[in-house]
Amino acid sequence: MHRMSERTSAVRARGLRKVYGDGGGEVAALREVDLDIEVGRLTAIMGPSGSGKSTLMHLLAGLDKPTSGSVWYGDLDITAMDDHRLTALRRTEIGFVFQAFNLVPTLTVLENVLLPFDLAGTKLDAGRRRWIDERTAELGLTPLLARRPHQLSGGQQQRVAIARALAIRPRLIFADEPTGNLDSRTGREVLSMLQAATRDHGQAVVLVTHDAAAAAHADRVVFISDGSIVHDVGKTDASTLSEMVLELAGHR
Amino acid sequence: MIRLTLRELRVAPAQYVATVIVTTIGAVLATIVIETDRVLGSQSSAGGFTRHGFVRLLLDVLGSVFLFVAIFVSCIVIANTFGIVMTARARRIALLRLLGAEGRTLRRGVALEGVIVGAVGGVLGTAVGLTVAGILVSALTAAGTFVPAPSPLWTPLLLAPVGVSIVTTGAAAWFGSRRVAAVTPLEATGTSQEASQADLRRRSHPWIGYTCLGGGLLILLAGVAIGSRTPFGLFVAAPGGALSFLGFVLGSSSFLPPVLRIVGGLFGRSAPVALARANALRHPARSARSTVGLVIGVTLVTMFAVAAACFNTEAGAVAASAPPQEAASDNNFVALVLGILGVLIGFSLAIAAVGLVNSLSLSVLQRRREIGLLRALGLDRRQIRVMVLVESLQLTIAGGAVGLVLGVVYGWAAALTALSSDHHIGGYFLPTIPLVLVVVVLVAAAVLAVLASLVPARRATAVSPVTALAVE
Repeated sequence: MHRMSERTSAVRARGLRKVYGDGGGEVAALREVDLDIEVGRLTAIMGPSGSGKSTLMHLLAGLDKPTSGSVWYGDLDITAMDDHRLTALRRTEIGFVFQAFNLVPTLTVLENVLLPFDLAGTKLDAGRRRWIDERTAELGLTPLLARRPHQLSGGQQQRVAIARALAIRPRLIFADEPTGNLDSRTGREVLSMLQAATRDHGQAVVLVTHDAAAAAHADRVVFISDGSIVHDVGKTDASTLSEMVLELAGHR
Repeated sequence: MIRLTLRELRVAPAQYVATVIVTTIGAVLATIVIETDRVLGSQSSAGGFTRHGFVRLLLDVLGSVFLFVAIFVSCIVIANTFGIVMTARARRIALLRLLGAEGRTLRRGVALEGVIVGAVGGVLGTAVGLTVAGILVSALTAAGTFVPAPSPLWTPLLLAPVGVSIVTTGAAAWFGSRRVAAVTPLEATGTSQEASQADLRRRSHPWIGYTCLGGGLLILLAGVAIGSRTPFGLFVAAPGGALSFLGFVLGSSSFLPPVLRIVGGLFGRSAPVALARANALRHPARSARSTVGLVIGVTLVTMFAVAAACFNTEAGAVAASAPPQEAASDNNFVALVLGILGVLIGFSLAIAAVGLVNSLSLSVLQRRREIGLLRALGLDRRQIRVMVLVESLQLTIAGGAVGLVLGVVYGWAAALTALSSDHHIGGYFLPTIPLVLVVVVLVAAAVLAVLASLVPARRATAVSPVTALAVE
């Protein structure tokens, strides 16, 4: 087990519970989850489908309200925020990378990357502009900046999504099955880019996946099953992770 | 934000075609009403045309009413179109919300799209209207119906159609983009696929529809009653009719499904038919939205046709008392104006068709998974095509029938209000319903249904069982 106390937390969840439905048809998607996501690390959240991993991500990102419990960004409890403040929080503190449909099809690559600033109505200063230029160059996007998303391959689209997430220097990046639509080589590339973001820029990244090979890139793997955290391990190889998944599936 | 709006306009102009057509037709109509009044004014002062003041007054009143109706209908159709566009764009809106865009900001952007599209349609329509008016005036002058009179077509009043187009389209776009406020950022995560496909759950208050319908009908009746004294009763009857029709449109998601159910029963019991019937009734609000444009178009055509038929029947009494030559020229004139307006209203029916194609395509698009499942379960392509066609038929025939009934009621009310005060007609009369019209509407509805189902059916049969079941 790793030592959480040594690192700064990007986000903390306390007593997080989510129940869907009401009356007789209640289903508990999450039961009393406590979790700290640390900066500078790639944390994978694994679990079979229906385990509650997506629910956990939605609650951590403020996309959904918990039935009870709290989610802290620093000393701010986001579960108490209204839509206006949550919107501003997403714009400045959270980056998103998804399996598909990451980009606005009518905008060019560069416009997609700059979109969060456009939405906030903030002018880019020279320093921020340089940061973005460096990230797009790192991700190999410089020759593609004027293209539109449909002219890109799946892997390229995912790189644009990562660039956009990094552009705002968020507290936290959520990547939900980011390799789901990619072939294995392109998938590995995308994962190493997320890894590099944590290593080089001290970024906190949460990777939600059911793929053991993807989770093997993480510095820490949290297993969710039936709405509870059942394992919380450091860097682990893919075959061990696969065995843990199978074992969980067997015990369900 | 403005950049996003402009990009949307430049990259995907196809989604505004329906709106541009609607605003253009509205502006054409407005231009022609303005020009008709001007030309008639100069004709009656320069030549001896339309000495019969009653007809002149009637035409002015009718012109204003037509204009009012056209603006009203445009607003409904535009709001509907924007609603459909927003549903199709829901995923993209959700992504923008996820990245930190405020729902309000996004709606403002949509309203701006409406303003720009409205300006384009307004200018286009005014230009078309002026051209048509110019051609008509010179043709009628050449034919000797009009005396040559110097009447420049341009008047500052023509800025009004453009201004009204901009304001109404912007407002209709704002109203139609309520969907935007309902989109949650969660829809972009892809895990809530079904939620993003679910139809806009409009928090509709049926009592608003019922209230408008009831109140509007009362005002309409009052207008008809006033009409037995003076044709100015139209100024009471028209808003009443519009209000009751607005009530019908607002409450259409509760009024139309029973009609859809009855019409759906006409097609037998085979599996594709049963599926189609269930589809049309599954999202009553969506089906009502698809149908309502058609109801509006058919109602208008029927209303004008019935009003004109009543006028022709009853005008015999007027003609008998007026000097024969004058009566003939007046009747010609009325026929001419009604002809022009009939053509314009025909265009609005074409818009209804565009709207229907839009919403059927959308409905197929949103059911891709389900269609894939049906294909996997063994429905063949022909059966899928039948399913889409029957759904389309069900919508158009229900819309046509409802439009016929409403149109007869409104047309009769309009004719009663405008004519019953004339001492030669003396009181109330039964509606004259042109049978040809009923046949034409029903046949046109069936043809429209087939045409409207072609593109969506092709999309539906192109769905392979495998891709539809895969994660998007």
